[in-house]
Amino acid sequence: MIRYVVRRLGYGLIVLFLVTVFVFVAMTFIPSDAVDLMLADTGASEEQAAELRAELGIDRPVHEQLFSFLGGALQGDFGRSFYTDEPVMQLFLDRIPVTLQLGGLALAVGTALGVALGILAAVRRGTRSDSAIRGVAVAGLSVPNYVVGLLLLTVLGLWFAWSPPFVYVGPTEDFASWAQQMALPAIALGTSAVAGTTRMTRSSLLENLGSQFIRTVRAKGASERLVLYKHALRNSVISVLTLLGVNLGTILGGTVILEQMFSLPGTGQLIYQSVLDRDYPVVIACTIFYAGLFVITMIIIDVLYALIDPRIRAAREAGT
Amino acid sequence: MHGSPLLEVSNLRVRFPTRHGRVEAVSDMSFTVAEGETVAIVGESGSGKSVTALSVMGLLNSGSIESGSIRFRGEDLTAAEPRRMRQIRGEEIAMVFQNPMAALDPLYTVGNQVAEAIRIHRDVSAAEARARAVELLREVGLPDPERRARSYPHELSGGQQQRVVIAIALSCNPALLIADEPTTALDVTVEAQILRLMRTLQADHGTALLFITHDMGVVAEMADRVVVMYAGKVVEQGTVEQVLREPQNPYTLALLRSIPSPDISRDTLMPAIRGSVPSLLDTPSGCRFHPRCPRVLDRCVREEPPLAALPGQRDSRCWLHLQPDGGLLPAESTDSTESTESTGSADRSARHGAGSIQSGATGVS
Repeated sequence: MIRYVVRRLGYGLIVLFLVTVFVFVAMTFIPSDAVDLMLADTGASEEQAAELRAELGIDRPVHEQLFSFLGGALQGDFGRSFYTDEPVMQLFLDRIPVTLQLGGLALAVGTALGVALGILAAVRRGTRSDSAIRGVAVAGLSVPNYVVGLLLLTVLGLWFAWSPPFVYVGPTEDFASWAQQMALPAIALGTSAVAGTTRMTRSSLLENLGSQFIRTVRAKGASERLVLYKHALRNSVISVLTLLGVNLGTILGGTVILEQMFSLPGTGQLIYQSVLDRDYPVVIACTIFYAGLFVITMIIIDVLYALIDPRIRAAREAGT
Repeated sequence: MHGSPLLEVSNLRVRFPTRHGRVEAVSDMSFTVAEGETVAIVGESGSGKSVTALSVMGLLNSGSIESGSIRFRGEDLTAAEPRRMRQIRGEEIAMVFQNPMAALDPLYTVGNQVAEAIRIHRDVSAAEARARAVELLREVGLPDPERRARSYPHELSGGQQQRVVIAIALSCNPALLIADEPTTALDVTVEAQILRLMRTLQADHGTALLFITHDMGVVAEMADRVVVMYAGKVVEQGTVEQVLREPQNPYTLALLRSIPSPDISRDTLMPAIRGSVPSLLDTPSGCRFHPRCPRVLDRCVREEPPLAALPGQRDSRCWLHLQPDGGLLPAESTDSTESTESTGSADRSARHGAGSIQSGATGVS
């Protein structure tokens, strides 16, 4: 199992490398750069602009920039912001707690609620509550998270004259204020996770409940509780876990717009602002950090698969 | 020889909803199983034999029992509360399924799954249940049961998995064991071992056995009495000697004739009943077997024959029995199969059934 994890980490590094190359190449296609923006209204000459580009290192061919970045990254130096000259790592670390709070809340509550609703729908298959849950789930999957966010803001603002606090405070300083600020973006981000998890839990449970091994359990005289929670649900966890990984990606992506919309000082907002400013070191490093977060979560999910399913464990020990 | 009926199924009628309307999978089915007795239900696929078994267990998924009763020690199971049915399942009536490779939960050790069956009905500690589970695994002939108890289903062969399923079924010493084609998915050599095991355990525990199969060879080996089903109805029942040696119903006779035997020349067609089992959505008028029956009468097309009581405590559903001449079929009858006559008697071909020869239908008879 340890060998498996090490191998997965190796693959993860390859993924991160490919992501880095992709971002560098993509960067060259963006019209205008940080220097254009910095000097836009100053009337600075072409020479001054060229000088600044040389100073920032963005006059060099893209592969040279890539190699010097990779050289630095291997030593833990991911570059500095063009504007503030702060190390990108520091900027990221300052802001990641907010994003982790938001994303974690959306993912955890979304998955828990989705599993609960999925169980309810599966147990009451064919009834009105099943139809209602399925209907809401389809709607939840169809509406993009920023639309949910806008709707929440609009409805609460216009009809109830309430909007979340504007200045971020940590949960340890003022929990009530933090909760008010987190609630709406977390709901917006978590909606599709709830909907997807509900559907996946329901269909997976129904498939397992109709399987032959469940019939064996019933033939033992087991209560429906034992059938559902010990056997059917555990067999459904694999597919729910898979979806958890997909949801993590969607939620991390969603933070970019929603943190901006709800003025949360997280990495999503940082990425958003850096793209507008063409602050390449920040964009590149944050993209890689997000990718790294995703890779690590996927490995954790893969380890969880093996803890749940002995067949997966056996296949890995056999080295296949 | 045997005591009062342990299980008494009377006029059972089971329907399933389908996209094309409701179908009747079992119609007017009656049979009994006495304490310690082995009764085989025989029929082709779709004849309703598995549905009958699941009805007794109360494990019909979408189907429902329309009428009739299933009395177990006098108690009507069709009217039993779900709670009462859970007490009976596993404790008094247990079941072994057709496909052992899919019958166990892949995520738990087999020891856990046997122990679970014990703990559902017995108030014992986890450790006691576990020790008892190991004993059961030993009893069903699993080698090195202590180690095997910690194995997961995928680590066992199909035959070993079926032994585990049998251990689960026997864990609470049920009075009735229902086995639904327990060896169909297994190799022939493993089949023989499993059948022997079931016979031994049945003898040791005095368990009654309701054995569902399509294999006449298995019937000959296992059963005291036989119930032959066709398209949801009982067509013949009697002792195994009566039914296999002197089948009275044209369907039973055709079924026995269609067992391949080594005596059949390779140049002749494999004996088979012509036509196919009717769809339950469109059952034939009159006798359900009439479109395939070699001895069909005008009356068979119009009217359904009753299950006629024949001498010697046996029944058969055929108009022939109600003909003026008494209508008992001779043991060797006219051509009820598509191919040339097989030379073996019904009983003999039945015993050859388990090790059947697949001869190609190369020649024309």
